[in-house]
Amino acid sequence: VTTPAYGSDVLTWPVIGPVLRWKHARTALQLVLLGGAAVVVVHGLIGPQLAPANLSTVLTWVHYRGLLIVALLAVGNLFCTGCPFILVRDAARRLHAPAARWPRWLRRKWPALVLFVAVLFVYELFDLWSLPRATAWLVLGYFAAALAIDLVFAGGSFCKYVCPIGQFNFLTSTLSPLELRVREPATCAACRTADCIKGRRAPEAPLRVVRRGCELGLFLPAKVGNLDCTLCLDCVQACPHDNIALATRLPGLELADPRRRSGIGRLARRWDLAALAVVFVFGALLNALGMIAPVYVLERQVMGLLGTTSGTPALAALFLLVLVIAPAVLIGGAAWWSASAAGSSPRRHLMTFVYTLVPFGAGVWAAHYGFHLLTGILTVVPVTQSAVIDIAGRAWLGAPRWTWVGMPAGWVLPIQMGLLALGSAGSMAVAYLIAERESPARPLPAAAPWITVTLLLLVAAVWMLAQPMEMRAVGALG
Amino acid sequence: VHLQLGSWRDRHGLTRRRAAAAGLLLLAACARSGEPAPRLTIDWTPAPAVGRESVAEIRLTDAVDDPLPGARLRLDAFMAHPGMAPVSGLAVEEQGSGRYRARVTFTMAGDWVVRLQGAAPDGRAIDLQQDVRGVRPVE
Repeated sequence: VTTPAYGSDVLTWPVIGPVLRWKHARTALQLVLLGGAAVVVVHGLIGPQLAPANLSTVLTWVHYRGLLIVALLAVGNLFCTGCPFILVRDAARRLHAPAARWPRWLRRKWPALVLFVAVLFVYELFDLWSLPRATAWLVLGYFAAALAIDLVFAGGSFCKYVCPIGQFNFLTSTLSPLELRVREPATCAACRTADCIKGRRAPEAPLRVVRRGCELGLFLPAKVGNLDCTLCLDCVQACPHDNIALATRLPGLELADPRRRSGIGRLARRWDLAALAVVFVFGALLNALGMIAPVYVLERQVMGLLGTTSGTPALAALFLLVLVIAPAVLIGGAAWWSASAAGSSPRRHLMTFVYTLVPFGAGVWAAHYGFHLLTGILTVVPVTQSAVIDIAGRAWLGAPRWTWVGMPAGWVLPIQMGLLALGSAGSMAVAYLIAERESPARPLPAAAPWITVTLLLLVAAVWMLAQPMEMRAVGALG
Repeated sequence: VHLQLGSWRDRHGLTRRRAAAAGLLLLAACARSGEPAPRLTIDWTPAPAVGRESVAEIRLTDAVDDPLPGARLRLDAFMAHPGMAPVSGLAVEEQGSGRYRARVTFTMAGDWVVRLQGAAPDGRAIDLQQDVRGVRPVE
């Protein structure tokens, strides 16, 4: 993979460039999302416990998730930029600065991976989308976790090692069209202060950091791609040479980039990142599976087989099947097959090629969350009107217009299919790029297994989308 | 802290006791009425199915199970999942003796929640809901 020179620099664009460079730009975005989080928490706790009529569930499970993936694929990791947890954490750090370093043995994605699976499991088990109060507590839990961890440990420990949303965003942002990168490598080579990572210090008081550097340990001259980048623009603010661009690029190309990455290392040596990619891809299918009737039938059959009336073991079995057994068979088989074709080791092929499935996974997430966003985008209007009545007792915004919903589901289906096709095409392209490097003499046989896996998963995803959706709210607990 | 509180009190002319009383009043205003909520029972005929009209036979009773006639009501049916099209603003006709009737056509398969809102004859607000699980296409 040859890394092209950076494209257009968004930071130099009129209007957008100055806005992004404004030193309070991030705080402004964070305040907007903090306001949204406050609404989610307050209405979730005191509003009607009816998910479609509560801003907590509507804003979280319809709008936030949908806009998150749209922003990631259309722009970049904007929701990490505007993360309200970090705004509150920064405020708290003014009162108590953390002194400890995140334990070395935990400096991998395993904690975040466990939490990612746990959130998916709890979401399905309790049908979180139907529980306004639980949704509010989940948001409060995120705030509490970010505070608890980052008031003890310095830097961006919560973002880098713990936050499941952050890991989702990092992986999806590999497909974003924008990336923070160095403009002129020669300028960095001559730089002696490394403010982009250490932070810019006050000349009169060198111990005082006036603009912090990258909290996630990404040193810009060695940064490759968007993994672990929260797009906070701290590096842009800190660089004394104005040598950092928010550059346009070809989305997904970084998944085939074998170079060592600052703060990450080589992708092919990171089992935790490979596992995260697997959960990202198969978790997308699992999350969408939870909305269709055949899965409920399967769950009931598993409950019968296990001789239990509780849905928890059946759900656990489904998770085991989709997140462990299916990937082991499909990815393990593809690695063995492509390694045989290239005369290489299956382990190397597994660790190198597993990232080819990320574009497909992003396509499934986008198709699923995009469906809810597009079909329900206007529901925020009547629910807000209803919330005003709940709180003020008067219809200051008018009577709820419950007929305001969104696009008909039938119109969204072609968009969903397009997203799946785009994701699959991206996966196949990345597979071929990696195969060209790993097996230059015979790239197609090396790529074929991964293309086959992508096509098999595509068939499964299309089958799922073709099922009539059932909006179940009776969790596995019944 | 004392100085700050004193300054705040001076500006607003309130004592701590008054502030506490105002807070309690606010809490009391926010709290729900102490009276028990009415009870709702709904029988469906025929059983709810996608695209088929079902009649909801609604029985509204007070806390001691006495019928609650004369209420002005409307009924909305929501999918359990947020963001989906509800069946909203359905008329509820009184049948006498605390019994009411509404006609509902569910538009999607899945779990629904019907919400009955309105006012009792004494002016008390009524806001009740009941789950309608597993609505399926007509077989």
